[in-house]
Amino acid sequence: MRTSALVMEQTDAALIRSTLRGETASYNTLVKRYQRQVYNLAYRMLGNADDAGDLVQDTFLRAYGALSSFRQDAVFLTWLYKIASNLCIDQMRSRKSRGALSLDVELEEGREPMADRSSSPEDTVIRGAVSDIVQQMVMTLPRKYRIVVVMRHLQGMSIEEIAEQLNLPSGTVKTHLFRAREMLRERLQPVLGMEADGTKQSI
Amino acid sequence: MELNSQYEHPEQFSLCLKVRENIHEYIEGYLDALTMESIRAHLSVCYLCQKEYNEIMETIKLVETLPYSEPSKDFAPLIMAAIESRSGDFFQAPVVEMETEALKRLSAPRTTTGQQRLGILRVSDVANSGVVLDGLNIGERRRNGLTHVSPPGVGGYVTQRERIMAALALLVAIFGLALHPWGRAAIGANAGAATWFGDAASSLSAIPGIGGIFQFISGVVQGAGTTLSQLWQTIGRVPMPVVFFDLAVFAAAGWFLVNRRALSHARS
Repeated sequence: MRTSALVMEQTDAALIRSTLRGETASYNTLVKRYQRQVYNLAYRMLGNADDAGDLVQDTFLRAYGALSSFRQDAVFLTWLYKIASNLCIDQMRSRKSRGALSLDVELEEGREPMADRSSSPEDTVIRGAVSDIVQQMVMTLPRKYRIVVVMRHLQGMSIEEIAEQLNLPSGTVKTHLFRAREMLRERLQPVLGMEADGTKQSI
Repeated sequence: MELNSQYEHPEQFSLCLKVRENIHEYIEGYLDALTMESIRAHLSVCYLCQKEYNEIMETIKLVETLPYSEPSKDFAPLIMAAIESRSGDFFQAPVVEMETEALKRLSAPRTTTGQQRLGILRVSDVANSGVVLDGLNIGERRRNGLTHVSPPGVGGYVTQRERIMAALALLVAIFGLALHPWGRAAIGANAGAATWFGDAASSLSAIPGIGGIFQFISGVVQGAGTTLSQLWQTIGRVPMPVVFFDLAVFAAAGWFLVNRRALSHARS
């Protein structure tokens, strides 16, 4: 994490304690310290800057209200991640329920990754933005798969932790994760090839 | 075509299938030591399986090394402003939040967004979400009679103004129902309503188990010729100073419940 490189004048625990004593300025410091990480998670899950921004605010407001229940021996960022991912899931669910289109297809297959041939993966790679494609492909995963991929591979949670947080059997989490990876692998084929060629050339 | 060539070595092919089947489990390290080792050995000799393995690993690497998406602005001022605007105490007993939330929801125009509507969750929701309960024991809360855990955060805390409004609403409800003729009509404290109530109670008295209760009510209301209004009048003979004293005691207890946590923080 980039924050760990910064010199921390005050530990999280100290800031949380003084926030609980009523010094809101301390909470301001905490927000500034972690908003980027929370935003990143929200953006990966929701794929949209506006929604991600709203989610950052919701997360910190919730965390503020629940601060007294925060265990002092826990890691504050992990706790924020937990709140944020639960809010993301809630939001995805509520969007699903009021979605205008029938989402059955999307839920099973994800969205069609390439509706527009003019921006094929190859073109984008040539423009040097592999990560754009990867992000796009993650966003086209069905929601339930995307959640698991983000939790496993961006937050580094274990399958058991994910199962516990999503209240799913770990077998289901595994299935979702493995299918998601297969989908990504399939859709990232052009990029994978390019990458391999690139490394060969550079060696 | 590749398949055909593999069919010439059926053993090899079935081994490949087994490896492919378990490749993700292998990557996560979920297999027993023997299977892990046999897959590792196979990967070192089978080009096609190794290619598959490498592709999956590369996919994972691509996802894990996605660059940070930077927020376009600093959210801290917005967040702090939202906190300031709700500067009643955040850290408080959930019971009062529940009541004022309920009042707010009744009176609020129905234009709230989904996020605002998340204001109240059931205990089961909160337990499932695993968020708010980090570090606090729901069983303990239940034992303390705090069965309703409201998630603090957006809409989850109460300002001073909302608290006063809630208290006023409660007073209006009590005095309105007991003192005003319309209020008494609404709660059955007149002869017509008492008759209806008695009829309803006697028709419900056939229910096994709790039927006895309705039988008793029906007996009280109809048999003895008592109306609910007479009951109310009896209750109404309590002198007003006593009523105010009781209200003061309730208010003090309520204040203590609301500020209990803030007090304990101040002490620590």
